[in-house]
Amino acid sequence: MSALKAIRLPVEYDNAWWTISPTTGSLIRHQIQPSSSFDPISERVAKALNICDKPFDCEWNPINKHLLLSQEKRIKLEKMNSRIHLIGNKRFWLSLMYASITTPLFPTSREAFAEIATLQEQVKARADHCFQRSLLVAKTSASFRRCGVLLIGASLASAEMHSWIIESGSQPDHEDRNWINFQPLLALTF
Amino acid sequence: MKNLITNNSLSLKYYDTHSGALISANEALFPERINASDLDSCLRNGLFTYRRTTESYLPVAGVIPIPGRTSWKLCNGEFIYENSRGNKRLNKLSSLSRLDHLVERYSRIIDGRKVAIELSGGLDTALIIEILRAHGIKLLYVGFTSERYEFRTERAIQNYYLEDSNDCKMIDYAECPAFASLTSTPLHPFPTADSLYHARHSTIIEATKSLGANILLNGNAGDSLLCHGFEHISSEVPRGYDQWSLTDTWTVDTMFVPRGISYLCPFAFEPVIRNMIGMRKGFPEDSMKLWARKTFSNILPYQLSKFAYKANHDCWVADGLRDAISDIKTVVNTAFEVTKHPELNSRTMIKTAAHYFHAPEKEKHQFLLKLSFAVWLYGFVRENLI
Repeated sequence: MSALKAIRLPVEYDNAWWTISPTTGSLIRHQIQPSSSFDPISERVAKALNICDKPFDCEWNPINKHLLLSQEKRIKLEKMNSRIHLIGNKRFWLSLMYASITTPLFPTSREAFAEIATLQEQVKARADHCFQRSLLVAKTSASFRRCGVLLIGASLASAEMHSWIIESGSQPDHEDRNWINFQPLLALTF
Repeated sequence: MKNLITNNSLSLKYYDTHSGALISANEALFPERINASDLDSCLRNGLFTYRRTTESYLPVAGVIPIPGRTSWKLCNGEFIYENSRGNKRLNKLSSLSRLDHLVERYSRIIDGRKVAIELSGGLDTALIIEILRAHGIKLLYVGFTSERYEFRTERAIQNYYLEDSNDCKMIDYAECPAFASLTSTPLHPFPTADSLYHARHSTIIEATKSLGANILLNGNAGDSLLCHGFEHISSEVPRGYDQWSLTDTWTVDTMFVPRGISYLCPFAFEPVIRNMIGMRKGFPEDSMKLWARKTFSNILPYQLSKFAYKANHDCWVADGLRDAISDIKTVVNTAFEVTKHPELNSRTMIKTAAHYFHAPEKEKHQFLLKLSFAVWLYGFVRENLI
């Protein structure tokens, strides 16, 4: 049973309010201040947002943590990855629903990120697949459901968007150096 | 015509392809020579026409910049970097204590004078501040800051240093975005992308003067020395790491020197380059500057030693482009009137400016090159020299 929760985090910028729609994933500009969230901010989300505010306080390890994945699990992972890409960004809510039905293959999100980074789509165009990467990590990491938060943010000056995870006081994607440039506008927990 | 052009002086000179002489920046303004093919030369030269590159390049309006103490070979109309007269040998005993010794020696230059530093909130300036502080050198702080979310990590570092300093002048980024005042860029002999940020430097110069300082340090060249891999070098500084190629020469010559400020880049002092590369010899590419964070962890604030973040100036650039639309139109249209070059199309340029962050890298690059050319040429029209 999915326990998907979406917390909208409106931000004021350039004489307008900005949110990311939990149903379409689109960046939305509001003339008046929108309501804060559909769900109350949990302690887990509050801690993750605090790390986003002070990235230098996060536990950080520059070394990748690879896990030897069995052939069977690797095939499973590739299939889930294909499905997530097939659903695509345009069916945002469906992507979230699919990811929220978790299938743990990794103990923590750190190992998940290290392995998922080696998948074909990620190797080819890593920057374009941050949302699919984060979703797949959330789906396959045993720890995510317990202590992870998937964040979607925007750089409001350029309207670029990005997706990343904060889990247990750390950003587990060793290769992502860009996340600190995005302001979180939507927090998702399963 | 000579085949090898050598500038024996310490300062940047310009080679006049007509007379074969090395001349100063003021003597090298030749508006009557400008033609449409100059834009093609600029596009071919790339962004860093005379700094941070040792490749070959083409003259524009009959002149070519020749940095101090360098030789350039003329071959089929192209100028190719030959060598620098600086000492290239790596320090055999490169080490932290050697670095300390160098700082001791060079700090005599600034002894007793008011010295400011551009406080960016990044690792490179923090390193300079900490090393100089360890030698008892008190610094004044100038720089840009912002309350914006994207700037929070830099702001934390800036606040760390500003906490115990009253001698500072921090300016909000919003007061001086990138590309500000393009139509009043100072006249200069050779197009360069640095000219697009001249207002930023003017603001910093005024801030430095308001603190009574006439020396301003910057953290330029840190990326070159602390990120690039030096695993395969022998005993000499690799090409492209000469002092001239690591410092911001346009800015120094055009903005700072005429207004009485020495704009110094401690990382680009020749012995510091040789020592720093010597210390990093054998180390691979290090985009997160982990080596520096670890090596200097005992002096750096924890925000910089325990974590590696990447600076982001998107908002500064985005706001700047939005505000500069009218100026971009003016300079590009003017440049088109003079050259009739089809690449100078203000509608296309404004379209790129509006979608700058979503444009492919090549398009961004070409945009900056064309804008630099237009700004350079506009200066001559503004001064009624064309």
